[in-house]
Amino acid sequence: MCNKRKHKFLLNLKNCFIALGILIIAFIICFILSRFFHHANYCSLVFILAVILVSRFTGGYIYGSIMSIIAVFGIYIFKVNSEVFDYALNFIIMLIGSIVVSSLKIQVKKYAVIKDEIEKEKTKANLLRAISHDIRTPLSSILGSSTAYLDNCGKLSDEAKYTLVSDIKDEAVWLIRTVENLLSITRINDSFAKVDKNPEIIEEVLGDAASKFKRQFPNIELNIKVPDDILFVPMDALLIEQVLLNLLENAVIHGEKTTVIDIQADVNESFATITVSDNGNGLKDEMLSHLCGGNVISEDKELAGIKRNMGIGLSVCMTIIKAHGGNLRAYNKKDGGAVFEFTLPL
Amino acid sequence: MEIRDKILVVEDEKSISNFICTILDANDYKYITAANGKKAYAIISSHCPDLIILDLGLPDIDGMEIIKMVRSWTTTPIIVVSARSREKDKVEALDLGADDYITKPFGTSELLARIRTAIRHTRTSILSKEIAQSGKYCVDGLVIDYDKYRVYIDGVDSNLTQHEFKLVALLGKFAGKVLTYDFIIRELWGSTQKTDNQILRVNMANIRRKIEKNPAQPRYIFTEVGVGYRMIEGD
Repeated sequence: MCNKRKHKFLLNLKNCFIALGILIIAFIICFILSRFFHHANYCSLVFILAVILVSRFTGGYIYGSIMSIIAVFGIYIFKVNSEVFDYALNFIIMLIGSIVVSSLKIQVKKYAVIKDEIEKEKTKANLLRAISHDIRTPLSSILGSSTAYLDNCGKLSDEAKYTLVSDIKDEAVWLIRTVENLLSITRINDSFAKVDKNPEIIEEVLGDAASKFKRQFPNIELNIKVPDDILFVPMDALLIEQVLLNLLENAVIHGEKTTVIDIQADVNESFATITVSDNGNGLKDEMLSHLCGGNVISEDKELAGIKRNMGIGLSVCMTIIKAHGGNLRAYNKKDGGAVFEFTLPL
Repeated sequence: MEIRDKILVVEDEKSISNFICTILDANDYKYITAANGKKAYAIISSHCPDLIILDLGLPDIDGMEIIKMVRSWTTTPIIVVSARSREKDKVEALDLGADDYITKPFGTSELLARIRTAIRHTRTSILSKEIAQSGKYCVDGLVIDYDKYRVYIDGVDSNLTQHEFKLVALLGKFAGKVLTYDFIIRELWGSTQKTDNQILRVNMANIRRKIEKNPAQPRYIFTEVGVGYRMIEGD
């Protein structure tokens, strides 16, 4: 709140300086011109220009209007007119000019805001489409399996029942993962720019994420390396944990033959780097090029459909890390396996 | 006849309370359900359950209020069920006197483990409040010797400072239970400085470097991000 007021004050100060500057320049020009010409008709033109410029470079109607009044005095000083009527006419013309320019400027500003909104809506729509598409499949499967179970309860063998129920469980696990991802996006403020950062010890966050991951995938070997010195990194720990979980799960699910995952944290003067690398199949070329473009939610349904959840999971990672002021990049190791690397500013 | 522990499930979502009760029934617990806070409160005072599983989001009374009311007259263990990403709720519930929390979605084994821990803790703390502070706590190669003020890993003294020992001892005393940052700070430093848990965390990082092989993959003391620490429970 206080910050907003301060910002407004600074803006007003800046506008004042602009108006004052243009006024002074107008006076100087008039003064110089008065040395060369004996009549002073140019004066009103110079001041009209000054009024229009002030309206253009300051916000709102106030500065332009005040400037019109001052300009009339300016014209009076250089004695352009002899009649009161002329001054009034000058004033009205300048006032109208300033109002027209100001209102044009306000309209342009409004348009920029609308354009920004449209851009945001578009991203949201893309995300929504990807999600709805992704969520429908497991839901149909859950509905199908449970209906099959209920309708044929007496006729099914135990094995068939077991299969149906474990299918329901798998799909539900997947749905929960997706929803957790979506929820974590809502933790980021609306402007997609701010997260609530607290200094966290990197090994605690890595350790907690690792133990959650282990509960789900007990057979995957995890190796974590952290610096010997205690490393505090400002972050929203839950969000970074979500990033790690996404990267780890992707490594298993999309790496297909992954058995070992290495997580490493390094630090230099300005940021911490966290690397997650696996020994799976590595990333496909089209996925890599998508990642390089920074656009992981593809509008192309084919790609989003093939790699279920990859799209949402990674775009959530990207959003979270961008909101922290860091970077996410991906590449393949020479000897196979994918590497995801993200930075967090210190 | 074996005496079965009676568990009260306070949950307004019928499907969730259904599956919790199925799990409890299958594992030889008696259960009662309450779909709202008022009913829960009536049951707690009339039936005296051995444990309460409490969802924080109830339609009538705020879950926190129920914890406060129950804690004003009984130490019946309370396990709070909460959604992830609401770590502030968890911390508040624990600080109000809840014994543990479990995060939705949870699995059967996780729920049962929490129930066992919570019930055992109230039993032992009633019987032997002081005994826990002397003798030894042993788990998986870790030995906390309360008499000698020493912590051994696989028989080797891990050279903790006095402060570090106090921290490990405290976690050992409440093994299996999450201790919030605030609780630990109050117990160890007696300070009421709420926001600053950096000293505690630096201490913990140092302890981990002494007792864990890899501080990022701890065996004994686990971090619950945003909430606190939990010591592994022995058998």
